[in-house]
Amino acid sequence: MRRRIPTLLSAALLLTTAGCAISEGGPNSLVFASYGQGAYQAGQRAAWLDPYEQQTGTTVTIDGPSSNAKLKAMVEAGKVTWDVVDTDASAAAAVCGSLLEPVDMGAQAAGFPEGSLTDCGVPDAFFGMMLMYDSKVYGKNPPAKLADFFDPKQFPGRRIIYGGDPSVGTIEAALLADGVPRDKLYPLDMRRALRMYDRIRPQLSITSTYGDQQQRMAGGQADMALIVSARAFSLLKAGATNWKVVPGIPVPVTWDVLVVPKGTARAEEAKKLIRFASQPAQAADFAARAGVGPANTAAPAARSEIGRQLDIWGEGKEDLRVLSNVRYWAANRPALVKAWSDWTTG
Amino acid sequence: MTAVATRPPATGQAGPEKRRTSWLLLPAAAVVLVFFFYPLAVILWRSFSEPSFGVGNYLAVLGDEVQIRVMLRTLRTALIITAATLVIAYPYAYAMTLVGRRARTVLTLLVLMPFWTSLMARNFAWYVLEQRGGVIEKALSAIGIDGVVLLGSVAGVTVAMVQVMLPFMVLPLQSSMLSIDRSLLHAAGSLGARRPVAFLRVYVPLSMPGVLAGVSVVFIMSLGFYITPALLGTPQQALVAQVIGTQVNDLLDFAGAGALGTILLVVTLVVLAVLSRVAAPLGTSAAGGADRG
Repeated sequence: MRRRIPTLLSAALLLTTAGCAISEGGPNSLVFASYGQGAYQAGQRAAWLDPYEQQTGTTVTIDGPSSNAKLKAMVEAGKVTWDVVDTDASAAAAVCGSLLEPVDMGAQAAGFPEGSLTDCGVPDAFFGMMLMYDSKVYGKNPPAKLADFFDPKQFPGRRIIYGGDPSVGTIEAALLADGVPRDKLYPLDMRRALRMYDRIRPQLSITSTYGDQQQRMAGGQADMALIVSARAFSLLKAGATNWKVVPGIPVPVTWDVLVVPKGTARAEEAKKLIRFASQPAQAADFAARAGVGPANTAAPAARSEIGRQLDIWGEGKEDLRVLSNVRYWAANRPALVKAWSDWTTG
Repeated sequence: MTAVATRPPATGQAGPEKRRTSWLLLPAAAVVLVFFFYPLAVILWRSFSEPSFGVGNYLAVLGDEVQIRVMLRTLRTALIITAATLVIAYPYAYAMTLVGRRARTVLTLLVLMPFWTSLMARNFAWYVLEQRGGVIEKALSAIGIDGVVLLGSVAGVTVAMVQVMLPFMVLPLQSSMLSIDRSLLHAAGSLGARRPVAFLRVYVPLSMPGVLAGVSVVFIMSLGFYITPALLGTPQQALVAQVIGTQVNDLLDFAGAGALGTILLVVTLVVLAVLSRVAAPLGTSAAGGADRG
């Protein structure tokens, strides 16, 4: 037994290091890095990558999960194995030029909502920060406005939010709930937002992944939630129908972007793929499959019943959408994330 | 791999044989050099050189109230886990030395079972057990203690980590106990010591090398544990590994994370140094300690 342990260990080591060497594609292949499994990545595969492969003969491999830290490490090490990466808009804007290639969208640029396209990041999915509640818990007296989330007296119950990244609308939602007008949100008053969260601290669970948040909501571990629409979509699709969206309230909107890491040998091919995915038909197809807002406003979105509940572009929603100020977030990200993580761990 | 030596170490291994086989260590040394020391050196270098040369990153960590609190929370949690593991593992390992061969095989299998189960599977099992409406809450409310939800609390993380760490405590303990000559207990008895006294004053001191080996492994591993606290805990009760994770993943602050990691490493080395200080005199008094495995 003792003799075999070193052998086993070295075998295990060999296997793991062999696994690290992800196949690097040749000139006719691209690596696309995105998040996890589920409706989101499956939607990208079906709406963009499969048609792109058929049209161009380029093989597209999916890798993941997308990670800004891994992206940074790759670029700095000069060994970039990702060609197109799906990441959040403000993080991308913060490292534009240093870690990311600029992407010129030409005439297609007009298709994106104002202020959403940045030099390096091409929007591919819009998310609303939705207020949801368990209808079994609240019955006839459900929460009806953002402020109700921060009012544990009128609306007792456990709250759950995703705490990994405060830039997804977490801060904006608290400020809107506290009565800050939507055009006065920026610069963000972080202390005011944290004072709002102080009110519900004993009732608040914070998860470090979206998957965990989804899991806990489905498992009845929370009664009320602020959750991004794509995750709400997966949750409802999986059958957690006791969860309802509070309609008619302001919705902070953030988005993901497609980026090209600096130093990839196939940058031009990668940009071609991004332009392809941004066409109205592809954008709409993906939006319908993943339950996100389509990136291209020219896209007519066919929506399922669940999709309509979570739709942020639909009719009569113009006054409810509060688009994130990506440039503000990019410039102030370290300080804001620090303040947020100090509050959560403190 | 001290932990795997379930039989007493063969005594009188000849010196020349050691010399003849020492080259076998070369591949391992090379692996450690390439995959451990080189990255470590890079991390260290970055923690001192970014964004500007100096100890700025370290001052930032040490001057940060939250970071210090997290560090202390981590140390406290690791200490609790170590203590709980020892309390459970000691009688278990002792029982393993008393029972017959077959029963010992069963007990060994039970200890090793967690090793053969994926860490993720075990964590999710705890997730299910600890959640609201889960087995633990129901069982406790059946005996009149209501509303105990371990999921998302330090207690929940501790319980799960104790289970993960148990084998690392049981195996060195058992290997050290097997080498204790039980006739010493009879000798103590014949000199008038009652059994508990003989156990405490003869047996326990002789088992100390195993205790120290187990304690140091468990404590040090607990300090850097990431997955279990991340899954079963919450950011509200974050341990240092999660804070490092945030710095790397969300802030892309590799240098700051490197500084925090280095501080954790230094704390670990200090703990090791202290423990080996304590262990040094014990190692000679207890013939055939765990370190001979």
